[in-house]
Amino acid sequence: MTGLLLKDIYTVLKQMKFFVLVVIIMACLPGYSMLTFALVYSAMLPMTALAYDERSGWDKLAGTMPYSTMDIVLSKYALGYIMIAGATLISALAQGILAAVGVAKPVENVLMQIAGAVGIALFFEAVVLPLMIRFGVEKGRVIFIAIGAAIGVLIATAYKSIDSFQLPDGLNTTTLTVGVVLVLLVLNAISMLISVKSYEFKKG
Amino acid sequence: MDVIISNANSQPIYEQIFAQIKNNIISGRLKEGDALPSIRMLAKDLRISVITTKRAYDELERAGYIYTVAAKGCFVAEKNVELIREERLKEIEEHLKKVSELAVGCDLGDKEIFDMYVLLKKEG
Amino acid sequence: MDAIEIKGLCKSYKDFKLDNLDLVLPSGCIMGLVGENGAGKSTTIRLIMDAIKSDAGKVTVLGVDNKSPEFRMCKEDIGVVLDEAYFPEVLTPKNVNSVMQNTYKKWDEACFFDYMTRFSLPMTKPFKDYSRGMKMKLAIAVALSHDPKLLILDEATSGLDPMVRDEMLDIFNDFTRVETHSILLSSHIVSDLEKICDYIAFIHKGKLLFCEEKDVLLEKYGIIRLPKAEFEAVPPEAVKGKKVTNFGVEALILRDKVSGAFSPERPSIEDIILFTAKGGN
Repeated sequence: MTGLLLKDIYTVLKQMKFFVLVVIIMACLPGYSMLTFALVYSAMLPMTALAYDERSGWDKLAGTMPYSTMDIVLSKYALGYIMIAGATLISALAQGILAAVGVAKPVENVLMQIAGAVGIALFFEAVVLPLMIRFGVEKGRVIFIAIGAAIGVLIATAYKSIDSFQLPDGLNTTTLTVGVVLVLLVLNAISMLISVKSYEFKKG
Repeated sequence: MDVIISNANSQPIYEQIFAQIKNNIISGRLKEGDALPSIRMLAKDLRISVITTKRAYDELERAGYIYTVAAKGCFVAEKNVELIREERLKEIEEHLKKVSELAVGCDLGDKEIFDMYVLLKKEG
Repeated sequence: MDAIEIKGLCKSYKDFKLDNLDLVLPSGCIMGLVGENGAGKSTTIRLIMDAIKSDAGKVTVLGVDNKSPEFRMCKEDIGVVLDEAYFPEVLTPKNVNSVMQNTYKKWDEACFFDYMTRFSLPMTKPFKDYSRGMKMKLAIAVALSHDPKLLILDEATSGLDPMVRDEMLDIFNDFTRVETHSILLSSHIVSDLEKICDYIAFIHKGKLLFCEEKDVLLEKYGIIRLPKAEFEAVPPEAVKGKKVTNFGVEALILRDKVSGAFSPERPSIEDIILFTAKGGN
């Protein structure tokens, strides 16, 4: 799988310079929405990799190499996770500095916001990747925009009430976080399985 | 050892190889105990099929000109005097056949042919 | 152990059907797969590599069933060159080297760089700046640099000029100097195949018309050219295919079914292919 990851990293290297710039800018801007967009944008990188694969017909070559379908699919998810992790680090640093300087909100809030954004980005990846693998990059992109818009609306409405957010009795931040993490893990695992099945189906 | 394959004539390639190696052995260019190139090497160097060179070597072995040592390769067999004599006899037979055909053409009888032979031998 | 064993392979598409293919590539041999475009050569190769699913039949490569989980490791020993190189266009050979190093257990970097030098391929130029010939050379270098036992080449020499093609054929020929190495080479350039193949398999419209030793084919058949009237004397069971023009008849015949009086000429593999496709009558 390392080979596949390397190939994707080399391939999107050109795009990455612009991308890193966009992520840094978005991450350094105060505000929850910018942060979220930064992370979701980084989750989009596997989609770009998929687009390049489609364009070069790479799948035909990959079929001749000692890779299983799981390897091929997993490498795309792994690429996403690495990018999200990288963007999170940049965001955390930037927001942390801004908070210390007093421009943005205090640190614990920032951490919560970042965690939330990571969750959304992971959710995004889990939903869009199987769609793109199944329907191809073009159609997948359309679906992606539709989902993006829906989530954007959700965030906008949720953001209004996030300051006065009250956890129901019996739940605290820790259990909530653990719960969300578990859900995301399961979601990603299911997503991978669907992606593998879709890839095999397209082989037909 | 020179082996030249001709694509122009209709003689099967394995026969050509067989004949050329055989002649090399009979003429003494290849001596007893000399190692022959491996079947695969000969095929690849001549750019011909391995199956064909194998066939030629099999024929050579069957006819007694070469022998195989497992894992070592093929070697020229001891000059079998009988074999060589047989070859020569075959050649003489063919020449005689030709002479007889020609003789019919210009109406020469058996005795005249024999006289010619004795004369040529004396001049020899 | 045969390099490739195919039994009863079937694959149907909308307007094409690969019909019950049986084929064996013995170890240490070079087999040429001939056929016109659309005959089924690429489909067969994709089925062998399990890149597409078959409808029926069994394929065994280097002793491994290509539907078994072990086949994935088997691909370490198979070098494949497809009709196009399919590398992402921004990658350079240096990048490709890193990727392959992390793909194949037996990747030999020195061997790969050696081929790059030998083929005069620039190491830091992105793939999109390569000409067609250079792309194929790169693909061939990659296929040869992980110590494969089997080479599968799908139209790997098409689109190359004759000198480059000859250079590639030399490399393929040298590859089989080792007796455990085998090659399956598909092409519609029959003259290339005639140069180095041990076996010729002819696929026509999804069916295998024959698979025979190349030299036996050349010994078995002959070409005769006669005026129509004289051609009547040729026994029909000897005729494998014929071409009738206003000036006479040209036919592919089985040598052992006609008398020597017809003095048949030596055919080329291309002749045999063309006439066989035409059919007996």
